[in-house]
Amino acid sequence: MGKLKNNRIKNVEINRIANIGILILLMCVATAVNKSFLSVSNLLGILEQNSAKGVMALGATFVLISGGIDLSMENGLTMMAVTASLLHISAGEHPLVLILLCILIGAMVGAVNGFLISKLKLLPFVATLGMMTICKGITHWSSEGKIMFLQSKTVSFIGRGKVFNVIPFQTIVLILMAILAAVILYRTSLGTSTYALGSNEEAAKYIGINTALQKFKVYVLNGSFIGVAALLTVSRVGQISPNLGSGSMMDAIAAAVIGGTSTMGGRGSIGGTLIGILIIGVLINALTFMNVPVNAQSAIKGIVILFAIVADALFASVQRRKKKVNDVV
Amino acid sequence: MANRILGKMSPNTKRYWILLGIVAAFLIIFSFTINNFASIMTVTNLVRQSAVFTILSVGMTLIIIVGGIDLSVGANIALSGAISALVMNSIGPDSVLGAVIGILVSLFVSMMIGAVNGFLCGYLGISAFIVTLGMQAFCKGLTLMVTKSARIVVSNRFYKWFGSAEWKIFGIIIPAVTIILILLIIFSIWAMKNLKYGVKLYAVGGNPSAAFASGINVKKTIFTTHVLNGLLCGLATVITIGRASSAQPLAGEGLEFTVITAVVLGGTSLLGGVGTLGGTFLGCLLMGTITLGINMVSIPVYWNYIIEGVCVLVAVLADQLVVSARTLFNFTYRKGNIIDHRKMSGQLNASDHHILELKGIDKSFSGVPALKNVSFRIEGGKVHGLVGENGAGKSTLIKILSGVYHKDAGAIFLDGEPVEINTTMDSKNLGISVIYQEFALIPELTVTQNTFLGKERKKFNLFLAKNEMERETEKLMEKLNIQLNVKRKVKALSVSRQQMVEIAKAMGSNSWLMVMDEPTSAITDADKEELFKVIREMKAGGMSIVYISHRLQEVLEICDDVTVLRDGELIATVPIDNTNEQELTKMMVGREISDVFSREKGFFDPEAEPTLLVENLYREGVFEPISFSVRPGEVLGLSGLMGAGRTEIARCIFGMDHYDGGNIYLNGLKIRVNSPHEALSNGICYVSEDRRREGIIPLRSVKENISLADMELTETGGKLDHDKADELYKTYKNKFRIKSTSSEQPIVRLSGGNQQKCCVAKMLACDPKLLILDEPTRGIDVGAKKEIHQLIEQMARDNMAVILISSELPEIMGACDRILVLSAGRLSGEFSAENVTEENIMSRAFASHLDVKNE
Repeated sequence: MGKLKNNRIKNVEINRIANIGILILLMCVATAVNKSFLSVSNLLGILEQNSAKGVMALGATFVLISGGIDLSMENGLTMMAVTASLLHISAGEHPLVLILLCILIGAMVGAVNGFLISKLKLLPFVATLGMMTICKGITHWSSEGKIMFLQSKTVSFIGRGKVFNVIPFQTIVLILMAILAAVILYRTSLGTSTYALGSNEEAAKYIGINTALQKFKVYVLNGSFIGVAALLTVSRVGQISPNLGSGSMMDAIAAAVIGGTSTMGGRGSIGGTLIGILIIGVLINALTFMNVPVNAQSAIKGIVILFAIVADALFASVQRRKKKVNDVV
Repeated sequence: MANRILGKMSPNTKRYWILLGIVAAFLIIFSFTINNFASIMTVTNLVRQSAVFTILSVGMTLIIIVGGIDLSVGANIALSGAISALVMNSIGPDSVLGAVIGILVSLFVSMMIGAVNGFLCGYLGISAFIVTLGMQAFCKGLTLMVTKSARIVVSNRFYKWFGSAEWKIFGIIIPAVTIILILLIIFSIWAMKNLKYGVKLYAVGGNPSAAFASGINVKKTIFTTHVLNGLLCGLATVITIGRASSAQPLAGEGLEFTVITAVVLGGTSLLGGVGTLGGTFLGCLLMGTITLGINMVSIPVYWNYIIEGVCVLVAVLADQLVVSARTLFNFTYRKGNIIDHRKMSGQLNASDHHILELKGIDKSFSGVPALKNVSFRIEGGKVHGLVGENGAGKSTLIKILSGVYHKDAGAIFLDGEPVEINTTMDSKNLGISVIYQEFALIPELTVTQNTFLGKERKKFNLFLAKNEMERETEKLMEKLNIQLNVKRKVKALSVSRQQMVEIAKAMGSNSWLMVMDEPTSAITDADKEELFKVIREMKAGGMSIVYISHRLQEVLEICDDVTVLRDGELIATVPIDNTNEQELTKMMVGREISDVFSREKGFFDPEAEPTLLVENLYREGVFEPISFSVRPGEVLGLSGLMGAGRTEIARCIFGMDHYDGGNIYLNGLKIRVNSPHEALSNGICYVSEDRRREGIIPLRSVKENISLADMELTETGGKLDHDKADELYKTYKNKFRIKSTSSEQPIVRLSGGNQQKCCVAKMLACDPKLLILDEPTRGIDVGAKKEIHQLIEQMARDNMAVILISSELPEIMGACDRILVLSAGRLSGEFSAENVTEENIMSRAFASHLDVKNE
């Protein structure tokens, strides 16, 4: 038994340990650069800044594990934020309207993607590519020439408020969403089906899983998560603009992939994605302290992501060879 | 009428006409609704506007065909534009020298970005999506850095010439890019038709393993394609800057998606291996027309996005429309017959005694019959054997029973009541569970999760009842006498354990009928004994088991009745006591098996220098040092159980896998083989056991498949030799009697036997000194088997050295001059063909298996 456990740590968890290692290393470097890095306010600040991205990355994790991809998430987020805000303003700025609309429109976008992919059997890449441009169109159509601010107090609390004057509300939402995602992934049959879809769809079908329905659910779930991220983003910015979501797809997918989620499907975890988003967050935070210009940060981020992925690929190939030998012997 | 015309065209031509039709429709609509649209100026504008993304879409098409994607093209243009503008402005803002260097820098920077992408995707094998996504972020950031987020004015008119020069001829304005575009279109289409590179692209994209086994350098091909794409990005950079007179940090933002859209519209599949440049150019024309029209009506630009998005979806959907319409129709047709099984399923559990009858089942796949009028009766409390050769229809029958396939005709009765099985759920509800030959386990899930996959126990109808399921799984494992941590992920288990989990999974479903498709092919003898014990217990409990196996001894040991299928027809169902192995074999094969495999022998000179001499070859953890030789005209058999190291040795000799030590001599010369390409150029050829994965490029033509390996070997300066390919096709079609309708027929449309003949032909075309055939007759019909063996005889006559790997003892004994037996990675016996019996071979095949276990 003890031996089994040992083996398990060796084979399965090493990726996670490496990730935590990278995170700790980054934090050490950050502390060396800036002594106030480890202050509570700075750490909470990192969490707050990355909450919306984190929620999005959780949704992306589901889609990636199921073997799909969502290219429409960035433009989708903007579209959800813009249309929901406009409707919310015209409906008299009731905050509940904004919250519900964000999630509802998100779920609807997800449902359309899910329908195209599961029922009409389009490749996820193509379906969400089409959806991406359509979302972009709707954003421009609804927001054209309009500059509008969100003034409701509740909305600004969602955006910048702090519970007990310490913990950012956004972070609480992220934590709740992470718990929700973990429960769905590990404690419901939708979660098990998500893994099954991504690692062997044919087998999943033979086993008797309704693959089309489960795939549909994965995309609706993803859409709803993006809806929540849209709510967090627009309430933080406090203003609608067609650039609300820019760069977010990159970060969301990168966080998931750094956290060990495979773009080929079947592999990934909620914990990994959270670590991934923290790695990106800490990196940016440290670079900002070092007065590295925003543009250079983006370039460095790209390198770090590539580096993480290359390391993961090399690691995986070494592991595969080891396993092959173990199998035969 | 229109349908009939469309029906006759090849899919590509059909697509071209449809795309042209759509373009024409848009042109007509725009001509009527937009002033000044119907003028020659429109064409000029169209060229100006679509030049950049047309150039990019050429590169993108190549990358998508080779199985990748590039999300970094837009950022690539921005970066190379910024760098070349800076360099040019510092060297000579207005000199020719500055322009030349500027252009070179543009091309170089773009190409380097492509090279990095290509290295990561090709040589490190990382997913192109993620690599180019990272590259996009990197390039974007770097561009904003070097430009300080401001545009850089470029005034060098020589540099700008390509993008901005225009001539006025007879009042018609012709931009300089027109020439570039025309040259590019003509050259690229010519190149795809006439260069080897084109064939390689499709081969790598269509089936990388098979391309590798045909001697194509897959990694290099992917790398080259990315570099080429980078070069085209460089060209696009020059034109972009020329038009805008400045390098802008946000140039090319989102361009990759426009380009991918155009490529997809043109019919290139994102799965790789399918697509044409012609289609891509029409896709670009369509995109350009729409954009232009929308710009001219001065309706808001967001319409452009929406139309573009809808166009992509509609175009791809239209492709699938015909297929979906058919399935939709079938679906509604079947819906009328669905019976509510839930009512029945309450009564159906393991302890009751049931009878399932299949009567007159027919099933064919695209016109080829797989089952003809098969009837079959399964009773509770019995084990029913199902035997037949590969391709006899066993799997098809099982898949009809499990709801994966739908029967064309016939009826199914349960306890005398007619039932319909349309989905896998229907089958489960009737109390049927199936253990498939290929594992249906999900590696990332635990043993428990796998055991309960698709039938999870739930708390509050929502959450998984984890503890309960774990307890039940442990009980199942106890029943099978397996010690296993049920919380472990399946990927951490050995193959034998995985198979046992698969069996436990079926047992856990509380069904009365269990189908086992080759359950013992991957498990150890000890596990087999446990399995048989469990089968006997289940039988005693009133359950019924359908047992499929190639190992007739097992069938004779465990079954009560046995049904024999051959070529999709029912031969007989007999009680096990009334039959024996010889009789079953005879029924399966339809003639004495020795007829199929026997041949004239002794074409080799025992004193001759061996063609192949292998000395202490070994691969760490796979097989132990082994030495053997093959002479010209000799057929050497490699026998042993699956996984004993037969295929692994062959793969090392052919360079598919690397070996850790030992020497290979070919005709007395020591050689080192690092890749299939080197093996092929030395005259070593290998026909893989896995035809689908390593043999054929499914969607490419028969001709292309046959000439693929030879093409890579012959030096023609990169040009494709069409005449030679035609000649090879004709020669082997006649020699091997390959049944194909034309040289352009996709190989996947041929039957298994004909595909196999093509694979052998592909290797013989390379003029081998040594040919390794790995399970050459697996899964093909008896007639084709006999033909393949006649070919082997012919090869021996032609003084070729042949190594034959086979699991079928009659095949090995009938065809080989000498037989080596392997067991658990080591050589355990050597026999000459004259004085060997099946028992000899089998005892050696199991020999060190037992040793290993005793250790």
